Amino acid sequence: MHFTLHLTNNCNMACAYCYVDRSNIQTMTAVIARRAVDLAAGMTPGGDSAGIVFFGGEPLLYKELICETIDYANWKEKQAGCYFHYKVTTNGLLLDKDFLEYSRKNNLFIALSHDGVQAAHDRHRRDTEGRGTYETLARKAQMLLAARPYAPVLMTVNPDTARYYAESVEYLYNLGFRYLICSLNYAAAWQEDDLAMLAGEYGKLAEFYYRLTLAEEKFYLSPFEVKISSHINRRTYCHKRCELGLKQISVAPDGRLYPCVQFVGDDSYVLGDVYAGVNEKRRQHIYLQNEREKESCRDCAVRKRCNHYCGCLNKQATGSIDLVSPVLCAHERLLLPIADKLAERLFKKRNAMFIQKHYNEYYPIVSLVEDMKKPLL
Amino acid sequence: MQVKPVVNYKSPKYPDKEETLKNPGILLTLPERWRSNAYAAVAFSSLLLLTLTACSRKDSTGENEQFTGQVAPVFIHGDGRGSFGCESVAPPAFLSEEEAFSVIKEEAQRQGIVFTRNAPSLQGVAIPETDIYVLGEEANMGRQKGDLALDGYDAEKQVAFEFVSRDDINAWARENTEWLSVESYHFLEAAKVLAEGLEGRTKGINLAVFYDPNYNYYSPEIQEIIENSAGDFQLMEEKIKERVKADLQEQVRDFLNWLKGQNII
Repeated sequence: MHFTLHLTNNCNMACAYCYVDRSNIQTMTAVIARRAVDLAAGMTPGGDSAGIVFFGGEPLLYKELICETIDYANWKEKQAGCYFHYKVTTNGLLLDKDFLEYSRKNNLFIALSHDGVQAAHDRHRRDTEGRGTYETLARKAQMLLAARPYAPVLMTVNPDTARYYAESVEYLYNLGFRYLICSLNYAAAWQEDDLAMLAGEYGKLAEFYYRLTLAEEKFYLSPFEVKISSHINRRTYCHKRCELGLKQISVAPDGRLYPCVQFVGDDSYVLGDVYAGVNEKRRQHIYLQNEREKESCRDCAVRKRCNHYCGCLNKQATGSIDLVSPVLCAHERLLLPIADKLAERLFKKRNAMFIQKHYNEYYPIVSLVEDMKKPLL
Repeated sequence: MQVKPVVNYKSPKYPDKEETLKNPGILLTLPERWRSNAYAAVAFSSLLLLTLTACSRKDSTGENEQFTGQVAPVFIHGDGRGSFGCESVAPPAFLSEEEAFSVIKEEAQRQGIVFTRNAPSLQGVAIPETDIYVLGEEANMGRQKGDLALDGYDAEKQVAFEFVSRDDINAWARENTEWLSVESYHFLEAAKVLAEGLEGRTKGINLAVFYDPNYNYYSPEIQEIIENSAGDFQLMEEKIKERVKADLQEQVRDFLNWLKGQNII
């Protein structure tokens, strides 16, 4: 279970594709953050670890609130016998050595938003004065990776940056990121030409993935990993996907609860608040509403491998969790065969890294052992 | 733009996890980077044991055989014996690695298998420990751990072969303190030991172990050639080569038929 604390809707950037409503700036109080931690402790089964995710706006505008909340959660762990793990998603501009050191000591995972090469990144990711943030971020990214080498990078692709997709992934990889989470801005006005461009970029990325895997490099490139997993783990894949409101709860700055980040501020999706807790009947209703097979996808041969069940994406793209985004559908149709062909090539070669990464459930542990221990001489 | 359901989608040609767990040999495929890191290798072995003991044994239908490499039986065509030295009156007619590669490649190509010399190595496998200074029929063959650089490979079809040659027998020979004037070569015996040692260690490759089909000097095949060669040593050598090449072709044909029978090609 994850609790995403939307510390603020304020931000030091003004990205063109940001969906956060900043007309009325709100910031979470320390009291609400603590109540959210209490709620997380109470809703997480004994022995499990609850995730506390700091989100925004830009959460690093309120570093002290993050530190106070983690201090409280650490205290709560001892009092209530529960466990927490922490993550923050940031645009990176406010990262500094002190905070990185703090994150290392407190095991606070840092995910960085970065759109890749300058032409792509600066097109949308600008500061409040309209200036691109690429140059500043290049230094911050290096600092982050030096302190937290496993930090994931979150890349958003827009129609006008699709042509830089492969180049951007390669750029981020060369910077040192090994966990590359890429997603489309489904709310953008994608056209057929843009999707054709995207298909070409995925072709290049498949070659990139193939090359790195043959070289036994360790990395995670989300579009391919997810699609390949949807076949390899097909029996369990449906249980790993988004289950709206069940696996994650978003906590708004005012303490109200929502099923996911896209719903924050939409009164029709309020699940309760940090004081009264979750209205289970309401949560169940929203969950079941989202679980119903979408009418448009009922006869689709790949519906079990598709991302159309993601209520958050549907809400972002169509305004309703019941309506699947045509862009998402087109994207799935073009990505799936490319991912399968890539996996087939690697499996045909009986590539050891591919096999271990995708079939050995202990791969992350062995990989970690390898990273922690240098070879014996 | 509209939502368009996919009407048909061909099942991908890589197994899902459930199929793999029924036949978990594929999980033994170890990346080189772990192989060279003792900690990772130990962690891998320990954790893999958990997986292997947790999953059921390979089902008897063998329906998932295509996802793991198999070692074909050694197909016997030719005695796989030979000697070199004072005992051997006939000229030496061992097949070199190059000659054997050429025969095997040509025969396999008829069935669409394209062998190249760019073949993988199998590390830490059981290979024969040979003794070339042994008289009589007993091979005195042992086993030792070593690396095996395969002789031919079709990367596309994941099929490879190893040809047990005189050079191999010499390379695998144990260190002797006593020497004889005759060197004895037990190719067939070595091929059997090798094939047995490679079981489950082929990194997913379907593998054949071929051997030099040569004959003992006293065998009827060689005696017949000697009788019909009127003391012409060059002719004898040509005839023996012709005979053993034909035997090797037969080994390859059997292997190709076996691959078909296993639905590998």
